[in-house]
Amino acid sequence: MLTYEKIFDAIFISLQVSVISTILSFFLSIIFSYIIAINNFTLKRTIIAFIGSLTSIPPVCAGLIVYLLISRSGPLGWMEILYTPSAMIIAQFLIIFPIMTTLFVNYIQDEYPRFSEELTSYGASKRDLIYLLIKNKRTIYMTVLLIGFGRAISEYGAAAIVGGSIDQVTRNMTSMIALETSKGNVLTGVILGIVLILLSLIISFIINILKKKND
Amino acid sequence: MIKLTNISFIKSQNIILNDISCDIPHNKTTVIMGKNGSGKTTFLKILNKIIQPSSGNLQTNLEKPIPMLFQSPIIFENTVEYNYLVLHKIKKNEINKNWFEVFDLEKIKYQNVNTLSGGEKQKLFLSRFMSYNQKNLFLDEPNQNLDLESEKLFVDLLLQEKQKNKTIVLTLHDFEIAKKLADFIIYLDKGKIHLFEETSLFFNKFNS
Repeated sequence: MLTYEKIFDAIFISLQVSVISTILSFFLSIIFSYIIAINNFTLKRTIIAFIGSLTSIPPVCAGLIVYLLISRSGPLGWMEILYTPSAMIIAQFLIIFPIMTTLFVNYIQDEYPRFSEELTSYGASKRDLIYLLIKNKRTIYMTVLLIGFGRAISEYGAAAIVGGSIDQVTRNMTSMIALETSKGNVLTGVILGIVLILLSLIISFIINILKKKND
Repeated sequence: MIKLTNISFIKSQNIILNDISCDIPHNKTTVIMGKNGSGKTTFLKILNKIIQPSSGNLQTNLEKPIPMLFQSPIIFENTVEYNYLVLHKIKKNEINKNWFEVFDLEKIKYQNVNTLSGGEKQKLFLSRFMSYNQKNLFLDEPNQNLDLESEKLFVDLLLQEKQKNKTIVLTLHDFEIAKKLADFIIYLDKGKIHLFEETSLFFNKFNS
């Protein structure tokens, strides 16, 4: 039977998985994008184009890839994380990492030459440039963080495939909306839908404030 | 003397500077003038070794680029004071706040740069640049956005720097200010030197 406790659990699972996948993706994408955007190497353009094309990966396909990797017969089957929140985090990471990396790479490729040209004349080293580039325009980092979180919390498909939508363990908001609506519990679907929309609106609102601040 | 011999600069198949040869005298003030897109900024960046020419030879005592006032300098999303100090702090330079006071920035030092007017930002850029107290000064359109009062302050300050026998090279659009500051004026047109003369001779020739 559906209880408020189960609804709150779904909200909590959604937030927990999305926050962890976003933070993980945020820091790794910063490191990765600085490495590929600042250095010149043979496959640079190919890698950037490949990551760019991954931004439009359908969540169900991301889920399917992670499923094949972590299922018992997959190469990472020994980890035994299928149908756990950890698997959901990995699947969401696969969706948002390319988005965050692409946004960061674009930002760094726009700004780094300008920073390098001017600040090197003031004696700044490459390390100083990276430090200043991160410290300067902090709102861009906040915006990317919120875009990533918005995408993670609203995706449906990836987390459901690898999480298995197990009640109070891996059933997040989007899975619960789909499940309850299909069972005819439209009201529950609507309540959860409102929570999800409110979260999205709050995120958009914060992004707009940050954009205005940045302008 | 900074000697340029047959300097050309080509970017994305566009000729920005075309076979420029001239000598920029030491301890003098040289003003570079010309229309938008005539190559003034590129000329200044090449003099300061910030960019390498596509061809030609540059003879200068500079071993590496020195702090230069850019046309659109980098501004950090922070306070006025932070923007003034950050580069000094990174390099652990001795901090000299004289220029901060000269440009009257003390009263807005805790203000976020996003709230500043164009003129206030330019004063911040000028004070940050001048605080490096260099022997050679390269400035790209230093008077942009300044109101008349601040522009007069800036011209007076540059005249004082001139008295210290510094080599000053700057780009300008304003002929009146050029007349006050320059020992020599270079007029660029479509990447070529149209006129390079001592100031009084320049105006005689340019007006005729």
